[in-house]
Amino acid sequence: MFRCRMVNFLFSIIPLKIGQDFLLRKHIQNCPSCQENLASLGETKSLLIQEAEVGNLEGLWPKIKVRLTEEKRKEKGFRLPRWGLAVGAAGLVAVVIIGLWLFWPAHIGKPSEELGRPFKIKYIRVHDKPARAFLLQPKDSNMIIIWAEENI
Amino acid sequence: MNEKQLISSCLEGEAEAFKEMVDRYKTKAMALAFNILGNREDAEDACQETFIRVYFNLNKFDLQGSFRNWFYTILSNRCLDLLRKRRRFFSFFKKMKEEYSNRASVQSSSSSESQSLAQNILQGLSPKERVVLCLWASEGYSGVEIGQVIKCSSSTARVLLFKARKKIKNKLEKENVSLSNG
Repeated sequence: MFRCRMVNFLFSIIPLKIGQDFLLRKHIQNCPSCQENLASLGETKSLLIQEAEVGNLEGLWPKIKVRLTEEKRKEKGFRLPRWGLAVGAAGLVAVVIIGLWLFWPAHIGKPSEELGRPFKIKYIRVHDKPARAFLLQPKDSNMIIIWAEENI
Repeated sequence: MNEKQLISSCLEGEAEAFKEMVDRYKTKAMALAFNILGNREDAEDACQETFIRVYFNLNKFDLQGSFRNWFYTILSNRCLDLLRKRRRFFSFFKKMKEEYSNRASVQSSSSSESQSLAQNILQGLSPKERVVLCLWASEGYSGVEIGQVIKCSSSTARVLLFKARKKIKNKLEKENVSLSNG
């Protein structure tokens, strides 16, 4: 009895199934006292639905037949091959890129019109004193570089 | 017609052969699915799905192996999938489900007390424990065969079976005590 308790205690603390199975095979399977703590085959069977209790299953085959016919029809129908999906996706991406390239609004990404207007500076001060200013605008560009210099 | 001839005929596309296969296995399949899932509607769905999968995957079956084991693997996987889906679906409505099952058990206790008691005891096991227990009790499978069906080692199968049998014994003893006290 002590041995049984010891084995059951070990079974509960061993986390590995292999270790638990070792205890099962070495002791529990062959020990009448331990077997008493397990449901017998008869007890287990009494809880389960037996084949005789299943009832009428005549309706099962017609349902399976209908499903089979549907599945076969699906298989025969148009099915895109695996590579077809990849090609389709790539085509879609290409169409989107070309569409964006063709129809992308022209003003987006370009300097606004305001920047393109003539640039004026009334005065410029450096260290709170009037300073000399040099403006440089490269040809055909909206970029304006301002260079300010103290009056010495 | 033996099993291999039947499988060969099914592979040749003979509908009558497949019907015979369904007739041979439908009762066993239904009993197993019912015991795992706990209700007839789901069990019927699982059986239908299993036979459809068998039909379309029969070419993958190794004729040297056991058809029964292969069939039960598909069926038990289908049942476990259904239980997983059901669990996910009902997780939001856990409280509602508990109330429903309480009501259902009260209703069924008036009609068939022993059946609901058996179902309650079985529902106390994990789905895998139920599969293992059914294969052991109904089909007489050993740990090795159970391991082949549920795709685990024989050690794991034996441990699962041991735990299931122990849980059942404890519950049966508790029920006896409560019945004798009541």
